[in-house]
Amino acid sequence: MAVAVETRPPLRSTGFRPGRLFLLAIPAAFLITFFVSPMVLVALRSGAPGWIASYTNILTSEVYLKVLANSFRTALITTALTVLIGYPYAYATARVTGTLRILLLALVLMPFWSSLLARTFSWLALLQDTGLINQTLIGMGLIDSPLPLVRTQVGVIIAMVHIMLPYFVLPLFAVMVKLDRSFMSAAESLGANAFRRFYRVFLPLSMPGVAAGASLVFILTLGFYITPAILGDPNQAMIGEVIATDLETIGFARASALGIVLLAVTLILFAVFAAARSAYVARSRA
Amino acid sequence: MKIQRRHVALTVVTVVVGVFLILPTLYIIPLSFDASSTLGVPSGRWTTSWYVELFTDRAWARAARNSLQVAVLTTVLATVLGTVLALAFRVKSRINSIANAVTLAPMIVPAVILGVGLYGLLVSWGLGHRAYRAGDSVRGGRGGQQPVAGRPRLREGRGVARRIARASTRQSGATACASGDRGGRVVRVRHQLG
Repeated sequence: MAVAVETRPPLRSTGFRPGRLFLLAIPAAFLITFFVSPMVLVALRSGAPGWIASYTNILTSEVYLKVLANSFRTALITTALTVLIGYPYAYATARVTGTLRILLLALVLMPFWSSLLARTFSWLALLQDTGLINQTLIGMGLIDSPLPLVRTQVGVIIAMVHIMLPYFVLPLFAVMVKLDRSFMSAAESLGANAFRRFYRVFLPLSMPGVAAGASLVFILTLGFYITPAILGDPNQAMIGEVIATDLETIGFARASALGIVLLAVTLILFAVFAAARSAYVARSRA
Repeated sequence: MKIQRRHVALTVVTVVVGVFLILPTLYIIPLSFDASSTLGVPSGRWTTSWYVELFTDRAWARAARNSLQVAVLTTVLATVLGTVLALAFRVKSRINSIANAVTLAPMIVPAVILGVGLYGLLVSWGLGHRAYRAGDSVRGGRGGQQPVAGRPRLREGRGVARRIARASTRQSGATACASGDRGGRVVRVRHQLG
């Protein structure tokens, strides 16, 4: 029966399936060539003059430690602010319907579709001393001298939150829209007020979306290059900039070693994050 | 739509975030017609000369063509590979978890590290400028559209991005501490404004 064949659930494959293997082979070949092998190359070359020397050079250098700390701090602040303002926005977008929802989604998608570089320069035009924000504030007599919004971490964080918001809002919105509304009705019929319904039912159910969006934002922010290069303080460079500079000035080995250190710290943070998450899930099920 | 009182705070936050999202995108529209060559507040003198330059300057045309080429090739490659992978994942199997981890890994690895690795790999093949396509496809397959940050020294890489960076460097009277063409940072702008 044709219908039965089409609707049966996918079977666990037990035997050898040449067709499936072939399907996997093409992307696998691509990923091995253009992802696995460059990563192996980076790992191998990072110990170029001597494994111990090249890593102790980095881990004992005040400059590199400062840059690493600054990068993770900036990424954390950016992620936290993105979550803080992105969550209510995604919530509002999921709550409304019709034209208003389309408008709110368009406001997220417009920057998402426009060039990263153009938006960064637009922020420069808005934030610098002669820019719109400072000139407006001075014109209104609120401040006497321009606020230091560029060449500082403030400008970098404002622009990065702006660039990262779509990456957070869109996956979270997708999760929120799919949430089963009957849980909320059940909570209401059991006497939970609006705050309790949100805090005890909606928020925990939307947490997978928050986790997915926040980790994406964190990783993308860590690797940022253009935005801190244009808006940031050169003395507070982020690791992406330093790796690029060192690739030019010092060479491939140093850039690779820095990359490996960055990767190691990132993976450790993710392991901690994953452990905390499974502990949270275990506790909420108990 | 009637706004209930307990939704006032949510409405205010949503409006503020909405304005924040759209402001930079809208702000470049008046700037693009501004006669002044500095980035900042529009001077009030309007011109279309930037657009004339954009459509007549051959360097811009070349940059646009390069960008388009990279974008089209990346999209095609990422779509084909992604679809093939999705088809392969349809059948449940033990390989899936490994294959899934490998395909997701490019999203966990900060772009700059992959950029450094790809650069080294492709240079060793004598293919420095091909790094653009490969790098974007690896990340593009999973929807990341972050530029591969470690794209230095790609001499052939005169994409629109670099042209914009250069033009606005020139435009704003800033000194480009340019490793620009020679060393090839995509952009290293030292602004001496205000």
